[in-house]
Amino acid sequence: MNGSASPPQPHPHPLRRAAQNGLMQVEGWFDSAFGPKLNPLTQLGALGYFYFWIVAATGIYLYIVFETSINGVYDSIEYLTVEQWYLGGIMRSLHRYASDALVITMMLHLLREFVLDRYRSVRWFSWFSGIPILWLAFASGINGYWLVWDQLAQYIAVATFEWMDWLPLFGEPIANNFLTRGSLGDRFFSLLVFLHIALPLFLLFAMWIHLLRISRPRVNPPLALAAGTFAMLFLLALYKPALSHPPADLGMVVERVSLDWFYLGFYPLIEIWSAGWVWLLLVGTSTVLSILPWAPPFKRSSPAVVDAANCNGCTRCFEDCPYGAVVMGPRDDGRPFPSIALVSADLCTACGICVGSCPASTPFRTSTQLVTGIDLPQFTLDKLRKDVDQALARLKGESKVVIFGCDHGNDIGKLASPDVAVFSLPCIAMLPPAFMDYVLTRGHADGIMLAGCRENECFHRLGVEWTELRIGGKRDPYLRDRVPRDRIATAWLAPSEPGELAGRLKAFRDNLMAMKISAAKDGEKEHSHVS
Amino acid sequence: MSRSLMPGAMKFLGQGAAYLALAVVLGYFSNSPAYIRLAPDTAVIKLSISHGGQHKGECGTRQFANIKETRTTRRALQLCPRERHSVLVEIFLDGERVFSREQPPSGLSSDGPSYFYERIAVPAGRHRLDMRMRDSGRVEGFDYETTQEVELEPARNLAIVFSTPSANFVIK
Ligand code: HEM
Ligand code: SF4
Ligand code: SF4
Repeated sequence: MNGSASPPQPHPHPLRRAAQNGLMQVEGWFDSAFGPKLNPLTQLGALGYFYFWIVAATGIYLYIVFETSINGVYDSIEYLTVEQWYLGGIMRSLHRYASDALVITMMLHLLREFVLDRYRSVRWFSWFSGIPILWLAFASGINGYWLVWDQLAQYIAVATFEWMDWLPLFGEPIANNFLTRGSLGDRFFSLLVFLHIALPLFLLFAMWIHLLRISRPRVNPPLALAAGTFAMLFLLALYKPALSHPPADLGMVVERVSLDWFYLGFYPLIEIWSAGWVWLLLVGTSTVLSILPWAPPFKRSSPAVVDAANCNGCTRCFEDCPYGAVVMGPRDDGRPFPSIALVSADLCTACGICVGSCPASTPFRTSTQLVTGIDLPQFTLDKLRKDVDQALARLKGESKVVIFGCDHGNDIGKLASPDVAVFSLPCIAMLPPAFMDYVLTRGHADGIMLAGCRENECFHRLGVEWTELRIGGKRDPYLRDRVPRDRIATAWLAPSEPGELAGRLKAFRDNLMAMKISAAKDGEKEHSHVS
Repeated sequence: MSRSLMPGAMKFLGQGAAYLALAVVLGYFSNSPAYIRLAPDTAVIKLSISHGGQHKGECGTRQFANIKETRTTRRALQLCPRERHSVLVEIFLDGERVFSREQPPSGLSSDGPSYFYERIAVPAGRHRLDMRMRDSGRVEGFDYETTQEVELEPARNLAIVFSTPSANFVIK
């Protein structure tokens, strides 16, 4: 039996679906090794921040000890690397490797958010603000390589200016400043050092902007992951210290450079293609990335709506919304509560998590029309109750189960049968705990299965976490104590794991049957005892 | 393998492998493979010239009807057209032309210098360089010509500039 569900969501493009399955496969391997809480692939943003802080801390040390003049800088860095290898050298290597790791992390993060489709319509902001982050991160890294003033720096300096000269901005080619030995002055070098402080600060600012529309972003990796990551960088720094090229000499051409491909990978293209093509490539890619959030297919659901008569200003929806789309405002309806929930339509993704938070979302109310404090116009709680009532009336069998799933998790439609009813919600956390109570304590069903995205992979970021906390009695609204927890099963699985889900369902139903049989036996015993 | 079933030792190995893989990628690609920009036994001549072509047209002498009624700042007697000729530069290496370009003046009113910036890879060794420039709009011949012998060791970066004061090419 297939209980009706939320309005059908457009399915992801087959290519995107394939990429998602591939990603889930790889993340599954990482889950096996690290466990879901420490899986680095699910906290790439937090790891990005972590690498940034390492780069910043080591950078401050290097800045204090290195000499910022064009003639002194090379030797002072050589001193740090060779003589003071145990401190300055390690700092330098950490500075380099953490910067490189930042690029890898950032690129994987971009790719992952893209594949998981977490950048569209009202979620455009984080994506769009990621583009300047890309430019600033690369500019900071490239700028850093100039400061060593070795042959690599020379190559980058000349190539950068030849590249810039393509733009019709400067009259005289600025690359002319790098013609001959001694043509570069301390003034210019001070500018480079200044930039190497300013650009990373802008980057940090952009990273802050990036998270403005995300409530409770994860910006720190769990301690064990941070420690492991740092240990890896530290060992790498010892094993393969970062070294300089021979000192720069503008009288000679740099014939051969050992590039840092993470930051400088596109530099050879400036010579192999041409400056113009490289501009086209980078500006073109950035432009395409920037407009992606508005590319079809358009799926914009109507935002959540507050019903003043049913909102008592308890702030739970405000606390739970993953997108900061609910704000508490003053009321003007004369009711004796301090505030009322207000939804910012342009931030709301219609995930329904707030519906699950609202204390008014209880199906036990007898009114024929179930109106709650905050609701989704396309898929109201009233409709959910009606659908559930209908489905429950039709369920028959020995172990009747209701599965609540999520539009972004497994396709639960296939699991429907005469003794299993299924309902797909925009997010599993849309289900108010009172609904679980309702389904179980009214004796309509023997068990409930909650099927959502994998732990730490929730499409709406916080849905699985809130659901766990509500069932565990750790977050308002709590699931009441009287609800038997052994009759609720959770299955946090990727859409690519339908087999695993079916297996969990079977195990759960076997368990329900076993409970029924032992209860019957207990009953018999009691009965015989009495007689 | 089901996700919860991986035993402790395997988990440990798995994490180690993941960290090791990241370390190898970081350690390798942070400075390899090397990018080779120049074939062996090659030097580079860098042409970097900014030179204003001569003005098109002669300066004219102005006649004033009543010079006292003209503002002092407007009393210049000479009136010169600002537009310049484009500049042609040609470089010959051992008699063979390796560079030739006619560059129009910069600026919105074509009154700025013509800019040249070019990298020319040449075999290392002794060479005769002929450098020629035309900046007067003439159809044939050159306004400046310099010939010089140069010894280029491999990877040498030789700069050719044009010195306006001495009105000739200079090699650095
Ligand atoms: C230094 C580089 C970056 C850092 C440190 C960073 C950090 C973060 C963090 C901490 C989050 C929140 C994750 C969570 O708690 O769920 C996040 C989300 C996100 N980031 Fe980044 N980010 C970076 C670059 C980028 C780039 C380059 C893009 C894409 C162009 C991007 C796109 C996104 C998107 C789409 C989200 C998800 C927003 C949502 O769930 O609605 N980020 N980022
Ligand atoms: S539907 Fe989701 S995004 Fe919209 S207000 Fe509710 S919790 Fe926030
Ligand atoms: S959870 Fe419900 S009652 Fe509480 S503030 Fe939000 S809408 Fe109002």
